Amino acid sequence: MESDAKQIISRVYKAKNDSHAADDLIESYLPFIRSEAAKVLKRPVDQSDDEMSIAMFAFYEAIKNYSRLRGSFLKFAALQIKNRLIDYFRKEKRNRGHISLDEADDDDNSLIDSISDEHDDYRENEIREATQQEIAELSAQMDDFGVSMSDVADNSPKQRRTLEICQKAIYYARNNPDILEDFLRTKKVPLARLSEGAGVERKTLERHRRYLVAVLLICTNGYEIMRGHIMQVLKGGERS
Amino acid sequence: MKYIVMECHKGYAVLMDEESRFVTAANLGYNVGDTISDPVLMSSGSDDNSRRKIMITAKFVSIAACLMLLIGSGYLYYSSNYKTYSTVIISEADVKMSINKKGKVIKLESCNQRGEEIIKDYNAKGKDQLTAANEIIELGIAKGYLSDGETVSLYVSDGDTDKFDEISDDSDNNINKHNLKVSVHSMNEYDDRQSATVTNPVTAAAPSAPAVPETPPAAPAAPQPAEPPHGAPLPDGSDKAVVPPTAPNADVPAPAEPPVKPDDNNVTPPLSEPKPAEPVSPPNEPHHDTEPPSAPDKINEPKHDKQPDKEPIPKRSEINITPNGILNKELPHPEANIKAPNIP
Repeated sequence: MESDAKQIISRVYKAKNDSHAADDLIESYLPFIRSEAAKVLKRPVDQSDDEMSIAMFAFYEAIKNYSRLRGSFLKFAALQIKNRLIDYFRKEKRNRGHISLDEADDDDNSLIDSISDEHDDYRENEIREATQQEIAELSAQMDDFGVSMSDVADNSPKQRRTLEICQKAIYYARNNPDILEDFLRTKKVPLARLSEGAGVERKTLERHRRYLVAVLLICTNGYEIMRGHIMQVLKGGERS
Repeated sequence: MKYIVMECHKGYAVLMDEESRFVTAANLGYNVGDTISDPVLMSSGSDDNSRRKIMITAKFVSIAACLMLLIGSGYLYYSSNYKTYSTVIISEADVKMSINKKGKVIKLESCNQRGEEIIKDYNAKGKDQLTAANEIIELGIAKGYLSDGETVSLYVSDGDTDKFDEISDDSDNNINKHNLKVSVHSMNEYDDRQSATVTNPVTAAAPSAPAVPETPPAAPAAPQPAEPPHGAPLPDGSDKAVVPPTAPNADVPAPAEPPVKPDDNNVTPPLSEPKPAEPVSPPNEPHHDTEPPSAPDKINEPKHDKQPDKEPIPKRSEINITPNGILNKELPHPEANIKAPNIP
């Protein structure tokens, strides 16, 4: 029993920094996650249910937030799953007055089908596919820098102040193409030049280096869709 | 706020918002490249906030711990150096010493005017209790309040009387130089003696002890027209004609103090009534008899008789009291006078 607990803890600590290890751990404990979700929901849970996705997400959060001081990992994870599901129900309860677009009528026609759609589905599919392609390329290019999407998510600035500092540096790099060229060539973020040029603290940029890799890559050629998504940021690098 | 799904995993998805933030959210059946607007996000900033809260809490806890350490060590220092751990009363000198845990004197108090005179201009703070006791006794001798050959009683509150026994062992100290005898007791005996002084009639008075004239409630108190001379019979020659004497140098705190019996240690309580004693006047204690009436003890002497109808109380100098407080046998016992009828 003790060795099992130790084994789980060691796997958890490995999964904190390795997205593949985290996926494996979640896969291994799917029955546990399903069982805990069923306890809260008081009914069986299917893999395709949103509640199951929420429960799995809660398990991943438990991996990220767990420390040995918290005691048993599985108990901690069970608590996280319960809290997340309760929060989800409260949110759903607030939206209960809304009609779901997927709700089917007597003829099995969902509401979303009956609403006239002015959007071009074909166009949207094209955009989605293009976006997927860009993301795949971005992901591959980030691998050259030794950075994954999960790393970027962990390293992304959380506070407004820190985000603005990083955005200033990105705005400066965008207006100085030689910096981006230097960045692509050396496979390193020119922290000193960005810090000096943007007039921001180098320490802050160092703390968010992996995030800067992802966003600087988006600023280079070939990522128009994603650049368009964050255009407001790229245009107004200096916020009031 | 719109999000682009950047990566999908088993239990979560990575999204990018319009402010270029990359966030982790629940994977509610997303596909890479999807644009969504209402994700279930991992608690954003909670790690930073909780870390910050932990840091702030840790700072407060460490400051509080330092304060507690300071207060604790300050209290320890205070309790071992400034807090009274025990009390020693030198009965014959009417001096009370407050002693700290290390055996050093932290305060000297006088029990009466006599004690105050003895320790006047004397600073015992920080001195070892044995040294201070020795020096106080020497001062008492030097100022005439203690005599050679006298017995000095020490009352110790913590019950550790052994440590004061060595005061007699040092041949160089003043006790041995003046042939004084040291008697060490626990404070309980002092308290018992004090309460005995209050409840029992005074039978003897030490010349060094302040005495209180007794004015019994029903005491007839022979109104002596004149103070009898030393050793001389009373004017009317009767045994009953002795009013409760009062020493000019005796304390008169209360009007109706019962007399106490003399004890061998001659430690007459301050509230004892001086009685007529044997006409023994040791040659080495002349000053007790010739003590001026306006001696320091007089400070407590009432300015007027408590019983104005009675004869004035004879002066102490006219009552022969030995250093050991033995009554002058020539004078009648005062108890007889207490119960005597009114004497015209």
